[in-house]
Amino acid sequence: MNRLTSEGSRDPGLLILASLAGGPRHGYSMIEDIERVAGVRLGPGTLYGAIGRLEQRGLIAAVESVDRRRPYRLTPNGGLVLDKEVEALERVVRLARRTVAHE
Amino acid sequence: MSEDRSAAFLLRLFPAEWRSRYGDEFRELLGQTGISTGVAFDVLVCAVDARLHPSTNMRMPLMIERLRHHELVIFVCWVIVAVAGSGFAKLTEDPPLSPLFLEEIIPRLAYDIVFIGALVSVVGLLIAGVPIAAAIAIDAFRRRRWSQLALLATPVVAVFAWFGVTAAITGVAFSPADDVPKTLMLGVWLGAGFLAVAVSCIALGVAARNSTIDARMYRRAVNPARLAVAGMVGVTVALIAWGFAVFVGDPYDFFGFSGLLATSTALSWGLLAIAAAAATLVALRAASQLRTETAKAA
Repeated sequence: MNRLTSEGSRDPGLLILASLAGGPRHGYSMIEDIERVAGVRLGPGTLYGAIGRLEQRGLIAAVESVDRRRPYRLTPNGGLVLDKEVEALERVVRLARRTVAHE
Repeated sequence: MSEDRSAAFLLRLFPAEWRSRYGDEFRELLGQTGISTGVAFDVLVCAVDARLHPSTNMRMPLMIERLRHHELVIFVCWVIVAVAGSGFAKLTEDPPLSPLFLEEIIPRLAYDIVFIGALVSVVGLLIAGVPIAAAIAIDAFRRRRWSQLALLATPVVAVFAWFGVTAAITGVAFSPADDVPKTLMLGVWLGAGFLAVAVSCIALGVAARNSTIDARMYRRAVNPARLAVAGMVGVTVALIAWGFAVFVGDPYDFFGFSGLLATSTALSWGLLAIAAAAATLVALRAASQLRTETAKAA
């Protein structure tokens, strides 16, 4: 159970979606935001590997930029997927809390 | 190794399509994070993954790259036709070929086809190329990529440099007996002209390759590029017909001592034919690629 929760909350794709839920961000801003909120510092390769997959699935989209730091935003589909993932994590957390309380 | 060179090295580990899509922003990110051993390892793993599992959304830029390549080839062919055509016109303006061209053998129809073909070709090229050049310039300006703007300005600089060479050479006085210096100067003048054309074409090609403009710009340019190619073909066919008419009218003007094949006119002719044929082939491939892409998208 611990392993599942840990992987779920540390999945780069989910972390990126969660970070972009607060508005468009570019790569470095995402790294800092994720580190601040989740305590996980994503490497540039890990970040862009996940960005490529999320963009391919239509969950995030690039925003027109005036410089080389291209920001990304959450798409409506990405918002739905994030909601479902968060609900699933919340169910896991509730179950874990109940289990701990009964012990 | 400096950080900038390290970033450039790490980027080269990724497939070209990946670099084309994410290269600029990823390099910028590496500049912000710095490149520690851990970061380098993380990037290496990502590069291996990108090579093993190329995303489907990477295929689109590859197709656009091909389309862009086709359009650049058509542009280079157009430049060759323009240079060779100008040379052809210059070489045939002197007797005995000039009267043939204008009056005796080729009637006004062929001359008009050459004129209209050249006009159509220029219009097609401008419709295809100007929006792309403008988009590259705007993109470069927004991203503050001054080297891109310098590449776009290269043809203008090259033309002025060639004018400078021309002015310098025409300012040199020769005596009638100075045949060798005259030939040498002509060679320098022609060489400078060809160098200016080559440098301009390469600079524009590199600028287009380095830019990240909307892929639709290249798709929209396919039909105007075909128009430019149609004009080039019209010019070439009319000039070949003219040559045939010269041959039929008086074979001496074709094979003779000062006939077509004995002068540089033949070289211009050959270049025109080769460039027009290559442009036609590439335009057909570009159109076919566009049809395939449209069918897949549907």
